[in-house]
Amino acid sequence: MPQLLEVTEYDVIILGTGFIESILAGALARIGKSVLHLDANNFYGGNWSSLNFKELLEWTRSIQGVDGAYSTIEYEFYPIHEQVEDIPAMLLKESKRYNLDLAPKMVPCRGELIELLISSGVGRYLEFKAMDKTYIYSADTFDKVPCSKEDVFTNQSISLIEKRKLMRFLTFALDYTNSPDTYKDYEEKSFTTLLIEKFKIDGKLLLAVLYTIALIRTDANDVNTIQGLEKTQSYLKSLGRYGNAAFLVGLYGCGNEIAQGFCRVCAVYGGIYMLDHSVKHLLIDENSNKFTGLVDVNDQQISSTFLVSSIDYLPPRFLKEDEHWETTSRAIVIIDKFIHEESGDASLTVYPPETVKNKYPVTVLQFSAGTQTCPEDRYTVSDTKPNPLFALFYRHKKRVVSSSEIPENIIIASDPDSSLDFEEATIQARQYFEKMCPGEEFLPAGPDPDDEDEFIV
Amino acid sequence: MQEHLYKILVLGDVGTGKTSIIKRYVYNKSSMNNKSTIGIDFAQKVIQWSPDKLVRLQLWDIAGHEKFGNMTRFYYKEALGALIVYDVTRSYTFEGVNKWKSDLDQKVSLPEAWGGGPIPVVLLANKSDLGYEGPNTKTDAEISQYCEEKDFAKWFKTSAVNNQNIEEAAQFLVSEILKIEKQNNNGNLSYINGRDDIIKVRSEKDPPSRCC
Repeated sequence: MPQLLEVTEYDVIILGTGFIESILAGALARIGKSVLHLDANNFYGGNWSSLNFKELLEWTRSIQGVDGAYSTIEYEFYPIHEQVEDIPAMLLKESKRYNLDLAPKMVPCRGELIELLISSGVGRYLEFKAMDKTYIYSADTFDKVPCSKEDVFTNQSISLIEKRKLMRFLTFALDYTNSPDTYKDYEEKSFTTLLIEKFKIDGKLLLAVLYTIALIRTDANDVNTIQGLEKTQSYLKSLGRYGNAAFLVGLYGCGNEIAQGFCRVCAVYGGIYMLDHSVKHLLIDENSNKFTGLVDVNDQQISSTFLVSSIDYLPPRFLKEDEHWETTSRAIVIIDKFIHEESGDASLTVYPPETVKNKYPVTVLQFSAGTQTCPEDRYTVSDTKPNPLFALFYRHKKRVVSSSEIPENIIIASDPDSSLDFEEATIQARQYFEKMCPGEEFLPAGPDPDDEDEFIV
Repeated sequence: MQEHLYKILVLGDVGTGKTSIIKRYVYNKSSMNNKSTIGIDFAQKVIQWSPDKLVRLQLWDIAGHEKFGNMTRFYYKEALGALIVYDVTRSYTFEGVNKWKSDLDQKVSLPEAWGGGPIPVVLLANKSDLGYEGPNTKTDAEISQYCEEKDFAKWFKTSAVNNQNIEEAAQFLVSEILKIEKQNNNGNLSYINGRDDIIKVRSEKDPPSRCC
C-alpha cells in the first residue's frame, strides 16, 4: 500500500538528505516551520552519505550510466590475499561493519561547523576521533609532519635549523595580522614566495607547509600570501582544543552522521521523513516562474512555499554546462594493513604535486576499526600501498546551476566540494536560512533532555 | 552507589499513545491535550531501584520519523530495551507491531559485552481503559501466544489515563535489562563509561559528566 500523506501543504519541502539540506531541515523545523523531508534513496545522506559495503556496490550500479554527479566509475577486487580465496564474499559478509564516506571530509577543531554542532546541541548525538597524524610523501618515503610546538621539538625528520625556521613561521602565522610589516611586501605575491624569501623555508619543509599545514588543494603558485596565511592560521587555531589534532573525524563516517543529527532535530520538531520516496516532477508556474509544489511517486500533489533541493532532483535545464563543474577524482580502497606503522585510528597523508605524476596534491585519509568505519585488520583509504582487497575509483563532480533560470523560491543545496572540510557547506546552509527566514535565529539549542527529570513529581 | 543508564525505545503506530505513556510514567501527568512531542529527544526518569542502585532511564519517543518508520541511526543507537505500543480500540495498529518488532530486530542488538543478542521488548496493549471489544479484538490467550512466537519478554494491558500497568511494564523491562546485565557479569559498556579517546563536542561550560 503506498505511503500517502495526510497533510499535503507545508512551509518547506526538502528533497535530499545531504549535509546542506539536512542542516536547513533542522533549522527550519526548529523555528516552527512545517517541513516535509524526502529522499529518493533508501538511506540518509545523498551524495554525502556513508555506505556499508553492500550498499556501496549497489550504489555504483545505480549511478552507472546516469547523467549525474559521477562519472568513470570502476571497481575491482584484488584476489592476491593468501588466506582468503573469495574476497568479494568475505567483504560482503562483513559488509555492515563498513561505513564508507562517498565524499570523505574532516571537521576542523575550530570553525563554522564545530561551533554550530556545539551551539545547536547536535554535537550531543555525535562521536569523534582525533585525526592527529599527518604524513607527507616524497621520493618513496613518508615523513611525519610536525604540527604543534611539541611536535616540532620531538620530530626526528627535520634538522634543528629547519625547526627554528618552522617555529618562526608558525608563531608569526598564528597572529599574522599583528605583524603586517612582515608580509606587506608580499601581499601581491604568492604564498610560496613569502615562505622562501622571508622565512627561508624550502625543500621538503616547504612542501609540508604548503600541502599539509595550509592544506592547499590546487597549484600552490595560484595561492597568494593572504590566502596562504589565512589557511595556515585556521589550521593552527584548530590545534590544542581536542589534544594534538587540528581535525576530528566522525565515528561511523562523517557527513552522513552529521546530516542525520540535524534530521533528528527536524524530526523532534515535527518534521516528517520519507526515504525511498521519489518525485515525479516539480510544479512551476509558467507566468510567475515560481515553484508551487510537486507530484510524488504516488501521484500525490504536495505544495509548499519553499523548496530546498539537492541538484539530483532538478530538471537538467537548470544546470550549467559540464565544463563549469569542478571535478574531484576519488577512490575508496580497502587494505589489509596500515600504510604507516603508527597511523592510529585516523591519519592524513599528502602526495604533493609531481610526486606520483600528479598535477594536484593527492590526499589520503586512512581510517581503521577505531573509527567504526571498517572491521579490525581492514583499513579504508583513498589511495593504495599495502595489499588492496578492493578499490573503487570515481570522479565526483560539483555541478553548477544557472541561477537566472531558477525560481526564486527554490533553494539549491550544492554537491560536496573538493575541500577536506564542511566549512563552505555550513556557511551556505546558514546563508540560505537567513535568506529564507530573515531575522530568525539559526539553530538555537533546544531544551536539554538531561534537565527534564527536574520535573518529576 | 551504583548508577545504571538505560536507553529505552518507545515505538508504535501514530496515535497509539506512546507520548501519553511516557508523560504519565515520567511526569505522572495525563496528557490528553498534548498533540505531539516537540523538541525533546527523550524523557528521563531516575529510579532508586534498591538502596545501592540508581537507574537512570531514558525513554525515546519516535518524533516525526514515526509516520513512515525512517528513523535516524541515533534513535536506535545504544538502546537496551523497547516498549512497542498498540491501540486496542484500533485493531489495525496491532499489525504495526510486527513491523516495529522486525525493524528493531534488524537494527538493534545488545552490546557485545552483553552477548550481542536481541534487546528485551515489552508489548503494551494501550487504551484498555476504553473497554473496547470489537470483532477483531485479540483475546488474552492470542496475545500471549503471539508474544511467545515473536519473542516479546511480556505484555501488559495499559492505560495512560487511569495510570494502569505503566509503572509495572517499565519496572518489568528494567528488571529484564538488569537480569541480562547480571548474566553477563555486569559486562562493562564502554560507551556509557566513556572511552577516553572518543571525543564529544559540547559547550565548554558544560560539565563533562553529571553527578548525582
